[in-house]
Amino acid sequence: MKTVIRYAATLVCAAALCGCATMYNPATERKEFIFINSQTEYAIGKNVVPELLKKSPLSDDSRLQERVSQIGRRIAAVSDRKDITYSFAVLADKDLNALTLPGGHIYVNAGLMEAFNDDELAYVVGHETGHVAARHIAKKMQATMAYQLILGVAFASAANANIQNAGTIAKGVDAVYNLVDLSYSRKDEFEADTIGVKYALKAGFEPSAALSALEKLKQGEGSNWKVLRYFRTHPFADERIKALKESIPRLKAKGAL
Amino acid sequence: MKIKRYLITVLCSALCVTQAWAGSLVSIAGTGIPLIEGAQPAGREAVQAHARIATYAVSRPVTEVADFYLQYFKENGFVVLGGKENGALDVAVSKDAVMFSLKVFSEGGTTLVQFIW
Repeated sequence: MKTVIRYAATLVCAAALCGCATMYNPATERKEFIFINSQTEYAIGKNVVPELLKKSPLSDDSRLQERVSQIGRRIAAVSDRKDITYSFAVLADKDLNALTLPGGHIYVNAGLMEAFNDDELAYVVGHETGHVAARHIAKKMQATMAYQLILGVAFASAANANIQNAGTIAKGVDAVYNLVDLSYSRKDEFEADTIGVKYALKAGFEPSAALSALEKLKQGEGSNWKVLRYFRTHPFADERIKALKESIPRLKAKGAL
Repeated sequence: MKIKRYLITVLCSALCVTQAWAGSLVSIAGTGIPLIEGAQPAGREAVQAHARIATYAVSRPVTEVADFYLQYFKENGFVVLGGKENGALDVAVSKDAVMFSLKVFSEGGTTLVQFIW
């Protein structure tokens, strides 16, 4: 009888909970249901890196690599997400852009490195780190890609990866790469901005540099196509500047805590 | 008599995966994955985004369920990404063409076992 009651109670509780493994994300301050765990996300990123570097090689300027690494380390140290190892590198591309692969692989183009001072760069690196901490890429993948394809990319280099699936894996790598190259939603961009400014402030950078960085891009530092490229992947400049003008004093007052 | 009991204990300890498995399976892409003994479906199998989700409830501690599956994956040559974190299990596993995620966690005092594929 006791067993029956316990069994019934378990079923009632389970039905009421309709259990989804939601986890609290300190970066977004929300409970979220993410299918993809951190190690899987990191493995996906690692397997997409060669695809990126094939299309856009690394810069051979060690001075730029060291600069982004130094800023990146300071930002990563204050990030809400500590369960992955961030990596920061500079691509030779002169285009004004930055991008993030799943699992904390962050890339900044040489063109942007040269156009931005350290505080502005800290905002850009903080913004990309914000996408990672808020799990925007993982959410984008699980919302748009078949889960088997996502797992296929994660396990692509596993010892027991099915060779017959090589074509599917290549398709998955392409799908992730194309997803990274697409813009984030308006909500995700605003969220990454706020998180990015918060991290820049906590890491000791000047947070208002976020405004000058966006203004520089908006007013056309460099040629127009370069700017257009940035706003294709990071749109809504005017609205983001307006939102940051409101949030920066608030974050400063709170000490970014 | 004492020897018989001892042998049974040894056998049960060595085969603790089998011990906690009552023979039920969850079918993932045509492959049967064992359900820990006592696990009962918690609602219907659902489709969220582009994944299928099957959730089971069980009256066993999270650690016991997590260890059961980790041992099963190890003994059966699965590649595992992830592990135990904050008192829960969150892994993605792969063997040949079978790939899925498994989350074992506690909610409202009940242990939930969730397969995502």
